[in-house]
Amino acid sequence: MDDLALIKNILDGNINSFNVLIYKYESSIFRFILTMVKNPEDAKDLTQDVFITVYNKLYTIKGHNKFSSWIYQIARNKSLDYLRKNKQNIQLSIEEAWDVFSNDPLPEQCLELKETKEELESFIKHLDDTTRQILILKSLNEDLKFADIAEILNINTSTVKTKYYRLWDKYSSYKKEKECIAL
Amino acid sequence: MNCRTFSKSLKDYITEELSQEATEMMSRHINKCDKCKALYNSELKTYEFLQSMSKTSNSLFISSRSDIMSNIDKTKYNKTFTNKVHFFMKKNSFKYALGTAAAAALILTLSFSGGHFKDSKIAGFLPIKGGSTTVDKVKKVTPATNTTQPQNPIENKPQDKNQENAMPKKYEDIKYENKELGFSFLIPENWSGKYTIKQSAEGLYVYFKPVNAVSEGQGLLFAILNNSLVNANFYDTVGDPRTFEANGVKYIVGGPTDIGFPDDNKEYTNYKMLKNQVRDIVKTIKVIDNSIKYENKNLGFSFTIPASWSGKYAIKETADGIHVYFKPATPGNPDTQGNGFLFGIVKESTVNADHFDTVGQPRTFEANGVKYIVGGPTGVTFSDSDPEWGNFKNISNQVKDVVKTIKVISNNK
Repeated sequence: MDDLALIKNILDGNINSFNVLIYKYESSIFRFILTMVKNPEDAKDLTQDVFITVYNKLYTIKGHNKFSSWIYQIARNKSLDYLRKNKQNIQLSIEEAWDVFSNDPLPEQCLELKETKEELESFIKHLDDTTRQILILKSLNEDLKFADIAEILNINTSTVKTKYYRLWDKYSSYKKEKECIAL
Repeated sequence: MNCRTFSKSLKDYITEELSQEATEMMSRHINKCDKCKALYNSELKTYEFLQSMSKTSNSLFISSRSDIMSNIDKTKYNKTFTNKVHFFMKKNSFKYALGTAAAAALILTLSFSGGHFKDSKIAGFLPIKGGSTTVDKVKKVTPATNTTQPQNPIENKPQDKNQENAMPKKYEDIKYENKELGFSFLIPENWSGKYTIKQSAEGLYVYFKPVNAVSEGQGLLFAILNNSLVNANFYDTVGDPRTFEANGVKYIVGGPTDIGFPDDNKEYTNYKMLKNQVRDIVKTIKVIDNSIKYENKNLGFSFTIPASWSGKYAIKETADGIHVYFKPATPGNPDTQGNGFLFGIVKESTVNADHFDTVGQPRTFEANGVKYIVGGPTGVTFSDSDPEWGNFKNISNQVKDVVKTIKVISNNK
């Protein structure tokens, strides 16, 4: 069932459809928020907060709005508000924050995936905040177009596209460089 | 389609950002050209690597679904008649508000033309009592055409507050000027008493000031902040300009990324009304020119020094011309630091141009019949380990802009 159908159900009083929406988006929203606030506990609270806001404001969503863009926009705004209010408390460096993801234990059989992940992590550590958010949004949701990401991050579509493609080229060169060293 | 066009559009093709027609052309080309097919496969692999970001496991994530479900009002969207009416009204509240306002305006216009408010000097032109508490240097800019300003606002207070609000608005602007930061802007008079400005190390924050206090940080309307001290991503664009420079500092103009004020607060409508006017205020931002003019009538030239140099430079005049130096707040050891020489304007005949580097344009000019050369040191004249190195560097970088302002003046002697 697509998002709009789920929303229609919720607005018709079917609360179970909201359960489905949470199931569909919760993990991605948590992950996106975590890249911004860099604290798993706060990211968890903010994720809950996002869904409560989404539920309370669901009646305002119009047919032409893309639900995924809307919910990420709410997540971004909540994270920015949090950062603004707690800017002095954020001690975690970008590297440390990224290491948060590195702690995930991976099954032994996923060697290839593990290699990819480590490679990406070492590469991603050096990206600026916006580029990292673009990358996360794009990879979390294949249906998000550059225009949607631009709307979520409140920047130009061309900026999103340029940053993403530049990152792509950079990653290609990075990989080539690594291959050369390995040889 | 040729290979060049294919290669140019390849990323758009992979990310599915192309039109259907272009996508079909790209697909056809891949099937025809082996070289481009290899390129496509290689780029696709990179894209898949990037997309694999979300495929990795996420052990930190523990679902809060049950907590969320227990924290929402499950009956909110129940299909009761009252609920339906409530949400229909809420969803269309703007239309209703518009309609109500139009009706009120019509009724009052009719009443007005009927002679109920013969004293047109009174209503609609009064400043609202209780102006901002922390506004720094505000002054009213009276429009030339407005000759009906009441002398004593208290005596001319309208009888009915609703009448005041519904009258056609004709505001005087309040000028906010901050010479320290080097800019000014105009605030509509209907903001009087409803806003507050807070200055901090980062710049200025303009807040909505509700009658009943709200928690700190709520009600932010817009802010003008030093771009190097804040993260611009935290402040959404609220109008034009988004950035400007004053006193050598780049400022960013922005607003909250979210609503900024609780929408269930009874004063939310007032906040929103002010927020809608922010764009017009931003348009009026003006940089105050605090630059320092150096004029040497004896030698016959002048130039302009940025305000940010104030207290940080010294000019020495000799028979041959002038020398401008960086003046650190705490003078260090000249033997180890150099003398902080920035640039000089001296008689061309007195120096070897090779030892006097070009620092900008003009390189030479003539004043009072004397040919002058403008130049600077051939090396760095200040220690990079000195705590004031940053200041020296900033000032050095602006020398070319100062040189540009050199003007020949007539000798009044």
